Amino acid sequence: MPCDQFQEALSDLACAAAEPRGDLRAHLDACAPCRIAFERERLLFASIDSGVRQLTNADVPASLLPAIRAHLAKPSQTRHGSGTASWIYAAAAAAAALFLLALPFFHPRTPAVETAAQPEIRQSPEQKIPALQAAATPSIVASRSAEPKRKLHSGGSSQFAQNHEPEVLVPAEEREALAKFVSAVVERQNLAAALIHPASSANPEGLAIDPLNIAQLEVKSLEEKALDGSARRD
Amino acid sequence: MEELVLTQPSRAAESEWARETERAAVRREFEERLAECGTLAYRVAYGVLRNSADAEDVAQEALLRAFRRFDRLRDRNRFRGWLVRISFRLALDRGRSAKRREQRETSWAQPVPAPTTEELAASSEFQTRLASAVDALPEKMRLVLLLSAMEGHTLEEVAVILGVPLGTAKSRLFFARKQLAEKLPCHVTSSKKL
Repeated sequence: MPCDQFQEALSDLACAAAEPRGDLRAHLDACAPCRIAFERERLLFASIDSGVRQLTNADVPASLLPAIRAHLAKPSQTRHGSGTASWIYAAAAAAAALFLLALPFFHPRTPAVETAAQPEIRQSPEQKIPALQAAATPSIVASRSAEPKRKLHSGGSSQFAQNHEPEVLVPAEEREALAKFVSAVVERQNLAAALIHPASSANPEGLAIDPLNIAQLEVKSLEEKALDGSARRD
Repeated sequence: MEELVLTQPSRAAESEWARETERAAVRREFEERLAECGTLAYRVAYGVLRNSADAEDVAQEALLRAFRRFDRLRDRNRFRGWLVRISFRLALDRGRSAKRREQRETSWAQPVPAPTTEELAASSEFQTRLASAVDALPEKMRLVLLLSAMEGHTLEEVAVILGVPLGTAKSRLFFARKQLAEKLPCHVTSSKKL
């Protein structure tokens, strides 16, 4: 039987790292050149396997896992939801832009529209003060002072009005920080109590303060002091 | 002018607290897998790039990317396969950009000095040829080949990691090895003669 018929099968066998059986085994036993060729093929595949193992099983640097853990330990804002947050902001900005663009088409230019477009001009001085305070300082402004401004914020204000949870007016970028602060305060009851009930100064009974002990001093008038000085000089 | 928003601190705090708890749980679960899978991510990257520093960078990026999207992974048992694919894809991208950069730089570069005797002795012709032959493999075959050679994975494990039937993994490995053998026949013949 010509060897050409077996060549492909023997090569496949070597590639699959399988043992020859049946006709192939018989041919290999009978044909020395094919046996040598088969051995070469097997050697080639063994070399390939060994080479690929060398390529892939490199020693892992010891710094890899600590570096990852350090990244994970960083504040969550930088990692978590950064992608989603940017999408949310982008979507919110796009919605606001669309809303502003669409506004003139829905309402012809009337005084009411001007009020919506320029709320600060139409506000009374009493209403403007809280808004200005909030803009000037990053601190939280009490909800009562923000009450008149609610009508200007059309989106979501009805939801807020329906429930009785206290509301505060904060700069947009500080909303998350406020939430974190409040959640920290909730976890630390002592701190919350201290913030809500400051120490009263009207109950001094509990305090016991020792009076100051001042050593006996010799008190002289200035004139006597001057006389003493001149006597020493003479 | 600064934009102001109305917010309910107590509700916001509640949801923030819930989010933080969830994040902590996700992080704990991820860290449990980190020790087991960090090595795998590195080795996959190294198999493609064959450069320790680049592979480390890629492994870090892959692991951090996996962490960021960990909560979106429905079946957590498929984490290994998912991480392998992320590492492999990132390593391929990095390899391509490095190749492009190299091409740009070589057009301006001075002639490369001849290698020293030590470098010649250290380099293995077969490894070099093998590495370039592996690079030339189709991606799917390459990934099966790398994984099957890595950390003593069996083909069944490779199939599970990649989420493909065992037969598919077998045939990909078979054709990968076959293609490599077609590119490296003379080396074995010549080494045998020696």
